[in-house]
Amino acid sequence: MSQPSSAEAPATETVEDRRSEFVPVGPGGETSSAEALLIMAYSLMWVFIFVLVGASLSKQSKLDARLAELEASLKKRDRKSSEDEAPV
Amino acid sequence: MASERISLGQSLLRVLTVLTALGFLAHIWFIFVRTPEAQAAAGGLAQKIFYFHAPAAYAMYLAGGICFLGSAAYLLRPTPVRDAWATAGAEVAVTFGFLVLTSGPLWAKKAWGVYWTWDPRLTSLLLTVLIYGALTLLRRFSGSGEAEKKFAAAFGILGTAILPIVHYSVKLWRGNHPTVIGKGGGGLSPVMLQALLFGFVTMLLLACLLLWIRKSIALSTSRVADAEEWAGTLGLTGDTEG
Repeated sequence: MSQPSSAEAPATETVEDRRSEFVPVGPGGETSSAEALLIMAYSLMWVFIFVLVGASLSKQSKLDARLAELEASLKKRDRKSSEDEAPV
Repeated sequence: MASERISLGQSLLRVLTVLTALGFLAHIWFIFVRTPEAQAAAGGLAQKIFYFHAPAAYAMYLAGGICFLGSAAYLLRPTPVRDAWATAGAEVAVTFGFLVLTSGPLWAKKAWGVYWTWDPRLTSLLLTVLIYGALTLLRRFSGSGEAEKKFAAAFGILGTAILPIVHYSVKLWRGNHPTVIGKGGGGLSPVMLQALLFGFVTMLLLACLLLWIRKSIALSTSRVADAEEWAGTLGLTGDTEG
């Protein structure tokens, strides 16, 4: 992307020019809608990020619940065994 | 003490989430209201993809770096926390790699006229994302034994070793991908540069948020597996299965 200022870039195809500006590879650029491509890119990014963060937070809460359940079960067992060992 | 640490961590996570969300909203406003449209050769309106495309690539480098550090630290002295950071780094690197690989072709269609070309940077980036993807699948499906974790850590170090190749591929082999940032780059107007820097800040926040969340998940998964194993040996499996 290197020269995105408003000045028009000459259409060159040397290796040096490819390094500092966009040189078309195929003819599709002129027929593609910039708006549609932009909307698609931003939509994909936002949907992906929202789904990932949402799924991650949901998984974290499920894991926390499972861990709490296991810890409670282990504590219950410890309490029960200490009660059984206590002198009558 | 432990519960205080957890609540402090949760508070920090909430603050980070709010900051990231606000940062993204302000960034989008800045891109679409303040930043001018680029020249047609750079993609015109589609060039606005650049303000999250390049920061996402740098966020991938950061996540790859975390994967490398976590993996190297795990190989030196294995602990669940180090393994969790290595896992999170790989997962977040795949996430940002995916963002770069989907946004780049959409911009390229306008600027280059094609969605994809086997340019050195694009090819090396695709290879890197495939390596991190393979690493994530390996960690998920190969079991949780010590040997598997050490193999995954070595794989994580290998994946990160490719990142400098991705970064310097533009200068080394000079394909179609132009240099934008740094020496030899074509330069950006001051407002465009501000939008890009803003993008770096928001993507950094998002990377930190995702790394923290995925690290917590990896650590909790390991703790649940240990607790289930312990409960199983004590014969509590039937009581605890939810």
